[in-house]
Amino acid sequence: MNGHAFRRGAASRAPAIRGKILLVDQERCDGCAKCAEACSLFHTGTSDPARSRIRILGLENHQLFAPSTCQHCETPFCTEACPTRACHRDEESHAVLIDPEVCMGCKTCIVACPFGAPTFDELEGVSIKCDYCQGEPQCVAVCEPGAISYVFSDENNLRRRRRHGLKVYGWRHAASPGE
Amino acid sequence: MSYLYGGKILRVNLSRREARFVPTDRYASKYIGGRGTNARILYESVDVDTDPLGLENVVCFGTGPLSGTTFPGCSRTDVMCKSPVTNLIGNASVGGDWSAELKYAGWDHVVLEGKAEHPVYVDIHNDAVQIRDARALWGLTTYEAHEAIRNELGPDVKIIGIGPAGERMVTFATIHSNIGNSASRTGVGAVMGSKNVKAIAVRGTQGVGIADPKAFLEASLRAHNTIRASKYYEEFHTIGLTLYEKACILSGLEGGGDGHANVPPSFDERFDYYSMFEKHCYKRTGCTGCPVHCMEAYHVGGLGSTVMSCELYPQLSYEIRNADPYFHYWLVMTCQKMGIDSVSTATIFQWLMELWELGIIDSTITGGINLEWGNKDGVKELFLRIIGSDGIGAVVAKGMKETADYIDARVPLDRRYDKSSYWWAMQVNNNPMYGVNPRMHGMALAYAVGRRSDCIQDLDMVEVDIANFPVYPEMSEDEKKRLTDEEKALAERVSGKIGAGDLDGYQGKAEMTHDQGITTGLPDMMGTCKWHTKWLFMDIEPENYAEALSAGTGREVGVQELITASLRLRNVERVLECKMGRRRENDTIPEKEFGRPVARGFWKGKIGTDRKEFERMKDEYYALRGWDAKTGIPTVETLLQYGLDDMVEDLPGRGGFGERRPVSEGDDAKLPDLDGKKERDGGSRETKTATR
Repeated sequence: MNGHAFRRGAASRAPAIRGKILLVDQERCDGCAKCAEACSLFHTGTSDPARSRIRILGLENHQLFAPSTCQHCETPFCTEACPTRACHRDEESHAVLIDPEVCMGCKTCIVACPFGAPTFDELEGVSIKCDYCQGEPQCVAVCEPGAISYVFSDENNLRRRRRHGLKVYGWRHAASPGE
Repeated sequence: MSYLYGGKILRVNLSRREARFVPTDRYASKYIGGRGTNARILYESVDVDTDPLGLENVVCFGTGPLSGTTFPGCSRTDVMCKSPVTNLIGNASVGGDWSAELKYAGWDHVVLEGKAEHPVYVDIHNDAVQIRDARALWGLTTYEAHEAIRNELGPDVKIIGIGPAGERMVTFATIHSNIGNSASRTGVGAVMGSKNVKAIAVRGTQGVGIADPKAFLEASLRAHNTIRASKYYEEFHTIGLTLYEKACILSGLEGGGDGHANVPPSFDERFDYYSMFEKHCYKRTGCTGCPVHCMEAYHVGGLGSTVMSCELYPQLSYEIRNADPYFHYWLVMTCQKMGIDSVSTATIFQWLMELWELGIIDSTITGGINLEWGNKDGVKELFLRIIGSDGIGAVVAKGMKETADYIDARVPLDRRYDKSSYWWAMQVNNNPMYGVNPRMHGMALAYAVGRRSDCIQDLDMVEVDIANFPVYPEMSEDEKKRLTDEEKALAERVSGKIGAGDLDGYQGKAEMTHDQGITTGLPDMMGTCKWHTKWLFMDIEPENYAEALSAGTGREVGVQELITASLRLRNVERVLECKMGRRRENDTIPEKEFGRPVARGFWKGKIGTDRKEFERMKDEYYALRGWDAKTGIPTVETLLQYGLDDMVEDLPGRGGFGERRPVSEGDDAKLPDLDGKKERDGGSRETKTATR
């Protein structure tokens, strides 16, 4: 299937994952679900949010949304629970991955994860979760409001910290030119 | 399954409680999808004597091939039925998240036929279709009903449905996707209400197949970047159309009707929705897959949350001279909760208030309601009565013509200045007009020839821009002049006529209107948003659609093929309109608007549409479309040119309109063989139906 060829093509690229984290800023998310469409298109070759590695939680009547995906925990419950070690931490990239060749579809990782990140792909019969798209997260590329960012861990939440500083310490006037 | 399409059209017969499917291939090659396929389905389903609120009418919900993909703005659902307002084509488009979900469930279109015995809602979960009891939901607002269905079926279902106004068949009722998104015009909500259907809930997990995912993703990203690089993107993405609408008001473009000739300057000073935007807008929001985010999400303590954009700002505030932004907010929010069209509401209120000012109507007609300009209590009272179809509200809810008849029957002729009160109504074929002024030439033409008797589809936005730039807020004089000149050059380039950018002239207006008609037809068929095209100064071109379709379907799709499809679509609609009785003389604007200059604002005392020149513009437009200049009916040659051979027999002189056998519902034989093949109905099958 074309989708698989696409995925293999992407995998051959050099990973640039170590030290980077995927962060969501729920204040910015507007629920457009482009992240889920791009994610599923990249991984499965079909535009199908039900098979996406990233999901949108929504409170539609208040237009409040939050993207939810794997946090790649330092002490992941999923790897602890996985009986076949399909769910493992990749030494090279430091990401938590599920090897579809080894996964037996027991869904234990889904039960174990406290954030509800892994989901089950019925068509392929394996658990799926975010793998940072081999270093180029598609969700970040298409996110228009900038709610999802892929940054080095020391850069996390710079924007929010900066905004907080401007507000709380009264730097807003100093920061705007000409005043 | 063919790529990019779900492959099936769902036809739900509510009278017989059964569902069957028709393959999409039957239509897709010729009509692509969305509005194109809807028009064809409607053409086959309704006839000249179909009662819009009766059993025979159908409501078609259509997605396009790009719905639910990564292509920007992949969120539009096209809703089509016979309209209870105009008795012609009823058509509206809605964003939100429903269209994508329907594609993921494997369906391209949903067609509702017949009428349910009691209130129901349709539950589609991939291939399983159930008709569920909605008696408990009847009477709930759109917000509450959607929440209740989500509680019942799970948080992931996407819902499209009507509010209490639709249930009571108010002729300008709407169909709501999620908050802030509604298919508003031409009374589609009333038709859904007449079928006793509260909502359609969809959950899909099958996805949309794409032939070449990598090329498709690249085409999508290219389209995204094209939008990002567009002239207006930055503004629309940060403050929406708040400033643009302000410019429309300052220029005198927005706020049609005589009532506005003497708006006191003190009102212009007090009128300000911008402070509301700065104070209460907590985030920008948009539909599935959209990079523009044209809508503003508001929350006001004590009133609640809603979403506003574009026309909503000036309509229920400026048009009715209501200077209180919080009352305006309440009206808009209630419109959305109750499922009623705010544009029609505003235009009808404006008309009634004008009649009140002229002394034609008084409290004996309105049932004790005082309709002085800007009287909040009066507006609120009548508004609630319209939604509740109570007393005078029940009359107004039937539309402008019925209201005018009601008034004429009770007010003597001399008090009406020897005219029908309908003379003051701002309507085209009984459809209340937008606030946009038909005294601009291109706009007048767009109103007259528009597919649903309003201007939006064919509106020449370049003309709007040329009128707006001289008064655009927060812009330097040099910039204003530069941008105006740019737009004028663009108008001349597109239309190929010198002086097309001249607001006083009539040159090139027909060409511009024709060109915009082609432009906006394309996204409607694709299931994407027309705001991303040059209709609203974004740069998505037919080339982008061709590229995405080629990558998605694996079949080379040319630009010319798409443009031809757009032209074909308008001809299908036009034949259907003409069959329902529309002729050249119906393509017009209100009588009183001719020969009168713009009433207020920057262009006060200027422009104005001349009757004779207007008819000449129509001649030009019909010639471009290939329609008969005398009647406005597409010619036989035009139909043959676009491969609509089977419609030729419907033209007058070839069997004529209305002479054909009226089609009965659920009749398989009525579906023609478009490919000339004798093909069965894709295995018409019973889908499980259940009641709870």
